[in-house]
Amino acid sequence: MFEQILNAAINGILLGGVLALLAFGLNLIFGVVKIIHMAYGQFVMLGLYLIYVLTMQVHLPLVLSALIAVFAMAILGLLTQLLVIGPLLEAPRLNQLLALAGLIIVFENLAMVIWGADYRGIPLYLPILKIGNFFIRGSCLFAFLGALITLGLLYLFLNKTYIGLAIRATAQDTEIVKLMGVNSRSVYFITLAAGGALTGIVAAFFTPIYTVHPHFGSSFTIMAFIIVVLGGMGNLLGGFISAFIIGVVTSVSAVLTTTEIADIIALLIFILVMLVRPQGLLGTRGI
Amino acid sequence: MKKITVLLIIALLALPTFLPTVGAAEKEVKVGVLFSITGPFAPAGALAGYRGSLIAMEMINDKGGVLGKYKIRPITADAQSNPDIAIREAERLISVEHVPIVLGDYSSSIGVPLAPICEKNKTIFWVIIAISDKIVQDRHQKYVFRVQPMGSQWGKSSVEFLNENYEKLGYKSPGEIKVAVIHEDGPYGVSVSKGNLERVERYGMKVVLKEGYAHTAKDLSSLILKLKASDPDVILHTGYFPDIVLFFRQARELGLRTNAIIGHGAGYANFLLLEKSLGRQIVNYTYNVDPAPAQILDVKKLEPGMDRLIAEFLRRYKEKHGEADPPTHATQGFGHTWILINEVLPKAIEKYGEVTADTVRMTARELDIPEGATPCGYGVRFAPPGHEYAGQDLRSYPVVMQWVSGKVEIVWPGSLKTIEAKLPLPSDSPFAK
Repeated sequence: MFEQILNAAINGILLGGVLALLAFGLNLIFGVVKIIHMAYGQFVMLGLYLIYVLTMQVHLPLVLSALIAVFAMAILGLLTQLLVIGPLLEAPRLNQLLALAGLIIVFENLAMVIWGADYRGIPLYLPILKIGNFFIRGSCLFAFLGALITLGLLYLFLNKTYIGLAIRATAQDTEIVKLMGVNSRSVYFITLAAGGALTGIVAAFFTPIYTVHPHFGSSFTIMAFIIVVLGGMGNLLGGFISAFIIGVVTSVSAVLTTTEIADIIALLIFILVMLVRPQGLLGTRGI
Repeated sequence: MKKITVLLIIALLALPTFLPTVGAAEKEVKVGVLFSITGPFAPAGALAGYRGSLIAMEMINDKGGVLGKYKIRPITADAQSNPDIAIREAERLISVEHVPIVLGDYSSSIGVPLAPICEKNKTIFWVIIAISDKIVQDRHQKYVFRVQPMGSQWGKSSVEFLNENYEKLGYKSPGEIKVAVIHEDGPYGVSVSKGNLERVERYGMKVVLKEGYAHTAKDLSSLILKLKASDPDVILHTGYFPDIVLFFRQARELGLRTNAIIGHGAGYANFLLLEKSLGRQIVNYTYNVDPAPAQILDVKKLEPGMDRLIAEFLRRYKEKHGEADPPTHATQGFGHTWILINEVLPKAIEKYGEVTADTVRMTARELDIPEGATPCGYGVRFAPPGHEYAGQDLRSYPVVMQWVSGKVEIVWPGSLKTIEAKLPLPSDSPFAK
């Protein structure tokens, strides 16, 4: 039993990496633009489709397809800022939410029209890693390492570059940064492009794990949202930690109880944290 | 002159309004066709069922309609894989379109709530694919009919197959077989797993794990770890499609070993799509319990004429959708609709002079079709009112199939078997012990 729990904990940590990767972009966008990107999961879905088409139909190497997808999703992020979020920046929050929720319908139906309702997956298998009696899932280890590298790069980008500084400053106070000569409009564009690129990265790491269909994104947006809120909205490190909490709790409790009860336990922990710390684990009040 | 011109123009414009009246001399029967054409259930089988249903109607209409004069007019509605939307659409079909019959859908999560709504509105609900026992069990409905076998029959068939093949697993009695039952936790999965467990208990087999999960689960690794720890000979699995793909991927990554993985319909029915998503090596030798797809039925065992009917259905399906080997749901859509429009409706018109929910209900109840006289192979005799499963076809049954190197083969029951089951999993399977 102990071995099983330990194996589940390893799986949970790896799952946490996958979830952390998912929550990054949503967190970044909320932290800077103060908008909840309702169609975030649909971006991931489009990224997965793009990788599928480029790899299976255009026959490009998978790595090249993934790079193109990251670039294409960054452009889609820019377009979303230009056409949807930008014009609604001063609008009531409800209008922003509704507009982004509208994007869900647009993207899902677009995917339905182009690719139909079929499930599409690339039959890609990473080597099985076995250490003693422990099996480490290559696909999740890959995503886990991807999450660590992405977080590291994001940290360097936000802390070591001028644009990163501008983004962090805008996240803290939009009005004051304008007085400092920062063009907040450009910062928003860069943030949405970075958020879009992150969805492309998520799609690349999800490719060996999931099959894609037009409604793939919805449940992932909810999962990402729970992680972001649990960690503290806009706090990247908080999101990272909470992803691992959800991953490990779900995995270990599924072994101890059942898969169904594990979801209940994870969400109960979420509710309890919200009751004790409504701002999330590492969040600050007032956001 | 100007007045005359104006009058002429008005007359010309008004003319088309009268044209339908002329056309209305052709009689028609409205049928509500409610399937999940979009959403996750669509690729898992609902779309294939929908296509099969429409081909049946088209074939009847090409012959001039029911009895050569009543054209079928399908009023299609998309349940979008969502029970709430399905209910809304069914209510629209009943109260706005005034259809006497609603036929569909694929998912039991939709079929279970839809049946009492149709019953309350005195509209026929002709269930095409959904298999949950609960759609009919203990409800004593008068307007709900289902030719499709029941979920518990799925669960029982896989265990019957094991019971007849325990020697292949190296055992001296069926009681030595270690079985794991895993299932999605909706009405479909629960219904099938109950059938599994009931039969497993009857034959004294050992249940080493029994667990449900949400079909939307993002991770099944803990379930697979438990499966590994319990070391089953056979995994009886009931799922939709994304969860089946996730299960296979993670099972391979976590080094799961067993002697057989037996699926029960839904995503398992489309072996080709599974193979596209997972690769042949992973899916090879997987089993599925379902009514046999028309193309693998031995037409020599069917009644005369069925061979031509099946060939025509397959020809049209290929022509329209490019698939020469459609999944079993397409046969269910076609066959079950064919029984309604080719067996029930003509008799209702002949006996009662019109198609209403009540004339269809009374005719269906008297239906008595022997084995081999439908495109699905099985016969039709609905359980009468008062029966525990009122409205359920008591003559339909699923078979156990195995996917062997890109071909579907029947391995149970013995009378329909096309090959001996590859049991235990041959060594070229990554899951072989």
